[in-house]
This record gives sequence, structure tokens and C-alpha cells, in this order.
Amino acid sequence: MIGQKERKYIFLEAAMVVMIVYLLTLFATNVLDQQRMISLDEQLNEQKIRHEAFLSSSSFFEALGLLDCEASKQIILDEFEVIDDWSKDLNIYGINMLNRNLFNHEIRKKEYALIQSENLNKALTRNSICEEDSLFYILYFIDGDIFGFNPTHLILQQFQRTNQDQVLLYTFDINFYDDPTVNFLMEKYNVTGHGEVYFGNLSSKTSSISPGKLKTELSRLKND
Amino acid sequence: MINQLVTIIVFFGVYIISFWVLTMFNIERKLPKLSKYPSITILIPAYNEEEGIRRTIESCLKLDYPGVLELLVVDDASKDNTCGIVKEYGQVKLLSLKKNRGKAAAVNKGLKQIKTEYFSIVDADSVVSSKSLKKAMPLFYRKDKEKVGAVISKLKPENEDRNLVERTQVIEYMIVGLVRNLLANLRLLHITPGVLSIYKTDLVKKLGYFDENNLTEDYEIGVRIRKSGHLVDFSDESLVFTRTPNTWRQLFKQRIRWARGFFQTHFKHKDIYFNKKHGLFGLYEFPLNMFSIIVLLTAVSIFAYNIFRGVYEFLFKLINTPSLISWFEWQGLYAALLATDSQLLIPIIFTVFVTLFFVYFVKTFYSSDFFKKNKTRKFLALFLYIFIYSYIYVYIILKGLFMELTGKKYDWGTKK
Repeated sequence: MIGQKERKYIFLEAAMVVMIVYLLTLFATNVLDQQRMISLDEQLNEQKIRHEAFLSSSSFFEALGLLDCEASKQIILDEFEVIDDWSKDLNIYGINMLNRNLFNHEIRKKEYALIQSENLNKALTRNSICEEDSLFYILYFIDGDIFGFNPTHLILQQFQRTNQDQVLLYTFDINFYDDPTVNFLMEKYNVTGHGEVYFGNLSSKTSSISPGKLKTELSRLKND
Repeated sequence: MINQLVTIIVFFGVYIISFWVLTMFNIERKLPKLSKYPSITILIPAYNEEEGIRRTIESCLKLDYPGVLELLVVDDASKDNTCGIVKEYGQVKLLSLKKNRGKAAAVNKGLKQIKTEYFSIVDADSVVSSKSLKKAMPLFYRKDKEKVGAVISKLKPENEDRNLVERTQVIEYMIVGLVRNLLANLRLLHITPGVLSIYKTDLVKKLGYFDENNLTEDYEIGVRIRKSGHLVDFSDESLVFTRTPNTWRQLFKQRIRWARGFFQTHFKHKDIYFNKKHGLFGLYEFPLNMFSIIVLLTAVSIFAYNIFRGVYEFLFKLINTPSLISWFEWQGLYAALLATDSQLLIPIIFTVFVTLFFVYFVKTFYSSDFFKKNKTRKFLALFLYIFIYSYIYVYIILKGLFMELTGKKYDWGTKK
């Protein structure tokens, strides 16, 4: 049998092994989280440049008194697609990170809200000029601290995906009520809680709706 | 909450496995040499064992043992020709009971007649190797004078290659043997299986004989032996072959009985938990048994929940949002790494540790006779044991606990 002294050493050695393993894991996780931040920043910088370019061209067109409805529609839809892809990474990385409450991640979620607002603003401006070819927009307000399966969001995404040349879907986190844009939208549309859906062009809102009923509502909108 | 729980569980799991792996590298056994071997009685409890008892008796008669060796068969009111077969062997004593009262009661009746210094119980369907007793007995006479109350043997299934059930049990018995060896070296062993476990006769009588109300009286007496301050040791060289269930139904029935006996024993001896009086046995090993059960149930619950949730979400997407299903798209290793859940890293480490443990195990036993033939089927059994058996065991544990808590009477059934 193993002696009493040897047994004590084994207890200590095992504890050291576990500590080393955990420290290495924490280090690796930290490195992984940093890489996620870098990846998100790179995508965001690209989007900012794209936005600057749009602003520049818009100013140019405004100066000449022109707006190309078709071209501007395509720019808005392309930009929306980029923002949408970026938000997917943001969500995945946000869930996968060890510390979801990292300050930097909150900043990025606010930046996401901002660039969505910029895209929405462009869409609304264009809609006011190009009335015959309006883009349809949906605003979905969620509580960003609630994780997990969201059937409503999936159905909205499905609707946007199958009508991607006409429909824009914006998701805003109601926890960012201190952000001026989000605050403005929440007050304008009287948003009080998680899961409220605002159908922009129809000026109608719904909440606590089952996925089945939402699908029916969206089909009706499509036909209309 | 679940993630914190997983972290704590994995922490303990990694610690325990590290501890055992380090122990493995520190085992040294030097058996003392005995100038004189003590007297011992082999006690064979039997109920309707006409099929196997002849082989058992003959293997016991072939034991190479220099000391006084007696054989006693206790017939628990068999309805077949068990007694007739025993009577053919003149050197074997027979005690026939008039009423069937179960194995523990039969053993106790026989024990009252035993006068030798030691006794060993051998099931009537087992076969002992000729050198088993000679190898095991020296462990009672330790140089460091620690008191040993029982010595257990290494069990091997006799039927091992007819189907997946049997092959899986061979793997299981190999691992159990390894674990018992480790526990014995750490002075933490407290189980005495009912096949060729050798006991000090006076000690068992003093402790009150076997518990006739316990479904696993062999486990329960082992706990009482440890509780009395005596050790239970393990003889790696004392080999006994035992029949194991060869259908899933029989296996489940046996294991549910073991699970019930486990809970019965732990409820009965709950005073051992975290009791310093019993040293590491009370502070660590005995509570660890129950903790392991809780860990297994928790881990399987979390796993099952994630599986069901994943299936539900997939079906929902398939029906309602098919365009959102992204089938496998390889975007490179870097992207895959960034998309990996950091919280999975901790269970991944645990899996790596467990895998290392099993690689060591596989490497150690790969050269054994078991893996020489039908390798594919044997490795399928190994895969089943590592990845699936634990989840089957959850059902067994839960059913055993439920039956024990509801006080359902155990049906021993009839021997086939």
C-alpha cells in the first residue's frame, strides 16, 4: 500500500495539476476572446468606411438635386446584409465568450445599434423620396440579456430572408435605452418590453404573438 | 447556474482522475512470505445450482493451499439436485436448510459452524484459480502491522465473448479491478464482492454476521469492516472466474439490485459521512461514492437537456425557417475556433483527461488475452462502455433509488 506521506504528496500533486490545467484554460480562453474582439473590430471598421462612402455620395447627389432610387436601394440592401452578417458574429461570439459582461462587448453591441439606426435612417429617407418603391422595414425589440431559443426572431429572419430585396429587419436591445436612437425609437413606438414587433410601413405593432400567428401576419403583409 | 455547476463538477472530476493516475505510478506491492498458512473454510451458498456447483467444488478442491482447508456448502432449500451432487464429494461438508431465506441468511447459518481462523465465500457458479488463496492470504500479514479484515480477489467474467453484453462486462470488470487496486493501495477500499472474498472469521462474527435484510450484503459487510477500523485489501494475483448475465434484461436486473443495495448501505451507514473518526474513508471515499452518483446524474441530465433542446430547435427551424438552416460550411480553422463556445473548453479538458485515462487503460490491457481475438467486436464493446454505458447506468441508478425509496420487494426470480 502507498504510505501516508506519499499519499499526501499525491493529493498535492493532483491539486497542482488541476490548477495548472485551469490556468492554461483561462489563458487560452482570454486569448480566444481577444481574437474575437479583433475580428469584430475589423468588420466594424469596414462597415464604417462603407458608411462614410455612402454619406459622401449622398451629399454629392443632394448637391446636384438627384437621388437614384434603384442605386440607393441596392446600397441600403447591401449594407443591411453586411450589418446582418456582422450581428451574427457578434451574437455568436457574445454567447461563446467566457465573460459576457466584458465592457468592450457592450460597446460593440451599442455600435451595432448605431449602424442599424444609420441604415434605417437611409431607408426612411429613401422611402420618403421613392414612394412607389418603398422598402419594408420591421423593428424588433428584445431584451439582450435573455439568451436562448427565440422562435419569433427566427420567423422574422425567415421572412426577411425570403423577401430580401424588399424587407429590412432591425433588432434593437431595449437595455440600451440610454442610447439616444434606441431611446427615441422606444418612446416613439411605445415599446415597454421584450418581444415587441413593429411593422414600420403599416405603423402597427404586436407583442406576445405566437410564432404561428406571426407567420400568418407576415403572409398577409406580403400579399398586401 | 448550469455553467457554474459544470465547472465545479469538472474541477472535481479532473482532480480525482489526476489523483488516481498519479497513484497508479506509485503502486508497489511486496507480498510478505508466510512460513505457516492459517486455516480457512470455503463457504459455498447454493440455491438450485445443479448446473454449476460441480465445477465450483472441483475448482476449490484443486486449490493449492498449504494450510488447513475445509469446504462447506450451505444449501438454501434447493428444489433441484444440488444436494445430491454435493454428497458425491465426501470431503465437502453439506449444511441443508429446510427453508429458503436468501444468500445472507444461508451464509450466516454456515458461519456459525465455521471454526477456522478465516473463511471465504465462493458463489456456486464461480471457478477459482488454483493459486488464488495462496496469493491472497499473505496480505493479512502486513509488515506495517495495519489490521486487515478482508482481502478480495480479482474477478473475471467466465463468459466473455458470446455477445455485446458479455464483452461490455469484461471491459467493466477490467476497469473495476484497476479501480479496486488503486483504492486498496490508498486504504480506501470498502467493498467485498461475494466471490472469493476472504474474511477474518472472528471479526465478522463480532460485527454481527451478514445483514440479511440487505440486497448486497457483501458490500455492506465491507463497509462495516472499514468502519471497525480494519482495512480491506485487494489481491491482484488471486483470480476467480464468475458467471455474468448474458442478456440486457438479466444485466439490468442484477445492476438494479446492486444499486438498491448501494443505497440501502449508504442510508444505513450515513453516520460515516464526513466523520473524522473514519479518516479518509469517512471524509473522502465513502462520500465520493454518493458524489459520483450525483455527478453522473447531473452530467447526463445536462447532456440530455442539450440534446433534446437541440433536436427541438432543429425541427422548428426545419419546419418554420428552412432557409435559416446552415448545413455544414467549413470556413476555416480560425473561424471555427472563434465560433467555439469557451465554456466548452472546461468539459473538453475533462474529456481529454478521461480519454488519457482510458488510453492508458486500453494500452495496458490491449496486450491481454481478451483483445487477441475478435478485435473489432471487442473494440465496439469498449466504445459502448466508454460512451454509452454511463447513460444506461443512470437509468439503473434511478430505478434502484426509486424502488428502494418506495420499498418495493425484490424478486430474486428463479435460476435458469
